[in-house]
Amino acid sequence: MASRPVADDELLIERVFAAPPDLVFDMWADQKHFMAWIGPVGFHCTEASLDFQVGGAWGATIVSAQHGTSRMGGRYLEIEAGRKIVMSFRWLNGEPDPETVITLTFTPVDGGTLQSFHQTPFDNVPRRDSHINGWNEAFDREQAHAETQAQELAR
Amino acid sequence: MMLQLDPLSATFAALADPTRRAILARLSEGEATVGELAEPFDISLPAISRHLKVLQAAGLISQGREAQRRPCRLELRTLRAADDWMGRYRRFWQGAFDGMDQYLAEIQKEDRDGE
Repeated sequence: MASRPVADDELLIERVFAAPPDLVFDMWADQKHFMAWIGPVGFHCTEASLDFQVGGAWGATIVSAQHGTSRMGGRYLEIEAGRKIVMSFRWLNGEPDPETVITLTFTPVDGGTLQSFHQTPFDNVPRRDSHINGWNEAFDREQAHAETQAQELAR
Repeated sequence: MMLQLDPLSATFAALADPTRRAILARLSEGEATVGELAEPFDISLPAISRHLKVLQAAGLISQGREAQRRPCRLELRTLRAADDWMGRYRRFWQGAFDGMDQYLAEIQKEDRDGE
């Protein structure tokens, strides 16, 4: 659930976990914990290596019966114990995939920890850029246009 | 040096600039000429033209052929590919965080039971 406006070209997922910040932080920092959850339902993590220090590399392999094997990895760019992790992320499946930067923060709140997950394909994105209002409006216009055309054709 | 980028990387590289994103935002309201696009910016026309070249090379915009006006327009197909790509990430992480939620509940229950 996003709680602030965000451009459509970046991804923000905020979620409260019923656990203290240190433990939620460890979900990313501790190899055993990381392996236990990384990947959607139906996937399991077969291997992960986390050199959890700034500049250190990380990588993981997830497997699903339906979708086969996927490998991902990157580097840690910034670490504040228990509070913040900035890491690069890229799929390593043969097909070229843009490198993204993930910024995670962990904030104590009523009922547990607010994990803020932010991912962007831009390595030099200005944090908030008031210019863009996303392209969904353009898609809306395109759809409206297509529907008008379809109606006209149907006449 | 020009790096040969895959289409999606080229799209995101082109998007990684606030001026270019502002140009796209303007074009989402409709076609515009180079002069019209340059208006709100405090930069030279040649600088705007360079931004437009990058956007065009990435397939994010196209320019009309009419000799005089040559209006620029958005290429929605390219934007949609970028949007789809972000959408796949959204589904991936939301699924993974469901798993994290369950796992956190399990290990904390084990801790309590173990005490």
